[in-house]
Amino acid sequence: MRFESQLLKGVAPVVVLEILSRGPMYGYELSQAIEQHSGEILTLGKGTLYPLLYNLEAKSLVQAKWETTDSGRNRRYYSITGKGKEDLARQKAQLQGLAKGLDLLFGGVLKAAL
Amino acid sequence: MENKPDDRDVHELPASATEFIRQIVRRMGYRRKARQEVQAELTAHFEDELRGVTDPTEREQKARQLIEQFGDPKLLAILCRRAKIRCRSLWAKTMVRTLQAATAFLLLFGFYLIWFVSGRPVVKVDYLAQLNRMSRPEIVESDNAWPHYEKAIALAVEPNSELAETAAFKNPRDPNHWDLAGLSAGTQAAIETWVQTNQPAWEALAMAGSKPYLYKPYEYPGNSRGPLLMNVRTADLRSLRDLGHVGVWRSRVHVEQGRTAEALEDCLIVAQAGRHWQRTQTLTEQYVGLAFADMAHQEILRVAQRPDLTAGLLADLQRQVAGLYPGPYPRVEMPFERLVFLDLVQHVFTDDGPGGGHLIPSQVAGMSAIMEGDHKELAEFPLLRTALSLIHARRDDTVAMACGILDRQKELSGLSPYERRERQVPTDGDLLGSLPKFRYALLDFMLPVLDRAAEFGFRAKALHEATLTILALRRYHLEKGQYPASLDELMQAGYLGSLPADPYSDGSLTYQVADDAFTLYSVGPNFNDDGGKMSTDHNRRPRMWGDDGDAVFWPVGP
Repeated sequence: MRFESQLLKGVAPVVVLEILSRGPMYGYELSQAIEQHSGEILTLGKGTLYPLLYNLEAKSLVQAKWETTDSGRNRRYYSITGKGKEDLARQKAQLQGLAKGLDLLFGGVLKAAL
Repeated sequence: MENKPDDRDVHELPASATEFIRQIVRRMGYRRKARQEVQAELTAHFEDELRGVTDPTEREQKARQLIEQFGDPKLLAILCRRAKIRCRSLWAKTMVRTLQAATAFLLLFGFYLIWFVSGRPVVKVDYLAQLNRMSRPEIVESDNAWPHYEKAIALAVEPNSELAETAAFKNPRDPNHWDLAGLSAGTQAAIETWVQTNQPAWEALAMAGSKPYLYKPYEYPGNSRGPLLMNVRTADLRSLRDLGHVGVWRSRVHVEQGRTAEALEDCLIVAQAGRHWQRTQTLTEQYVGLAFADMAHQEILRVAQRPDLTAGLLADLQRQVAGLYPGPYPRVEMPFERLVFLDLVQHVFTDDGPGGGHLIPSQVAGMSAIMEGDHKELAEFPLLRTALSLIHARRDDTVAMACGILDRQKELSGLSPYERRERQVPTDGDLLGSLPKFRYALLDFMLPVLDRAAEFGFRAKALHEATLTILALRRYHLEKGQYPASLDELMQAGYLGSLPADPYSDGSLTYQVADDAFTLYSVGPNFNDDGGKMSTDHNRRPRMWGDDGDAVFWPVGP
């Protein structure tokens, strides 16, 4: 499903933080995980992925380091920080509130659809 | 240990992917390490995407799909660069911002400095015309003494070097030189010849003295010094002063010849010249006036010792001396010096900008010839005079400060030395010295100190009033046969209009009478009554206003 870019723009950081909260991943791995865990509904544009990760790193919400994978290749693994977890929790609460409001607005259609 | 990114795998990717990654990294710019990291991550992403695809055509196709998903390499490069810049450590960000701020400041300062040093003065006010308007009284030109002074100066003959080197000529105030008969025959003859040679100049001086006022138009000299008011041409004051000495020696010659009335007439001519020049606009010319007044009154007092003076002659003399200053005794003032400063300001400051304008460094260089001390050294080096100009107060502030000081000086010039001491008024030198040294440099070396000049004015006034008092006392003695017990008695008897003020005390000059003689003196600059003991110089010769005694007006001499 193709979403409006502005609609996804706001939730992209919380999506990335949520995936990373489940364990460290490198860029490619992260983009695959987003598709899989969202039932292939959400896709993060490749041109958005790395700038987003760097911005999250600049805000100290994630940290990164090069590590060797099982296959012997060097990859830059990203992991969520404590600050990132707090930010994630806060944004999830906001999104839940938003979802509830929208659901009420659309007469419970949203919840039923989920 | 953290593994470092490597770029060896870039060569295993399809050419399009390699080129795409290189485009991004190249456009990204920024630090090498950051670019390497981005290159490594993008390469890894392509590797992961192409894992398991071995067919080259298929690899190429998949790579192009991925490239399409990444989008515009230029945009991606910009986004990655911005994000990587945000990843800088706090100290790095601080350093960069500080360097940026410093660079911006230096650039702005550089532009400011260029604007600053390229400033030019705008001369708007003709202060010479203002000076001439100020000094011109509303009287017919035929009553103006200046043409006659000009003629006298032109006709004045300097003493020859032989005469000028004689002790008598160099120190006419020495009591040993008062009587011509006490001089060597050669000196006496030389003096008489010199006096005779200056007869035409003397006649012109006498004519000048008879006129009611002196108006001398000021003008710029006919050389390349430029229209700066401080360069305005004054009269040949040296020749003028020589004419004062001509009068003194003429008087002594007449005394030697027994012609007392003529001697006194010579003294009055010098005194008349003094009153003219005391009312001129420049401090230098006023000093000449004070010198004339001093010479004349001192000589009158010496002549007044003579026993052949009649009461009538003394009364006439007293009337003429009193008539020299029918109004208040002139105060020493500095109208010219004020205009000189304002004129200088418009020549060395710009006419616009913050604070009304700034001091122009190139103009400071031109002033170095008249500066002294630290300021002179500053003016001689371009960087230092630029720094001085940057530090110096702006035009409006400078003018306000100067006018404030000049107004204060004018107001205080009416206080006697005693009154200044009682009120603990700081000296003008202390006041100027209290200003921030370089911020008001122009004031420090341009503004004259008036308090010293004002003190000279008070001394001249005291001498004038002492002369009137002594003439009155001599008259009283001739007519009454004795001296009065007090100056009040002299006044009550109608011989004196007012008591002579002592500038160094809160009362009048001190009068002591004993044994058919009297002493009249000021307590002098030490403010102590030394009982009429005359102050002396370093050679122990009598000195009128020394610090070690009183200023004794009578008796005259040692």
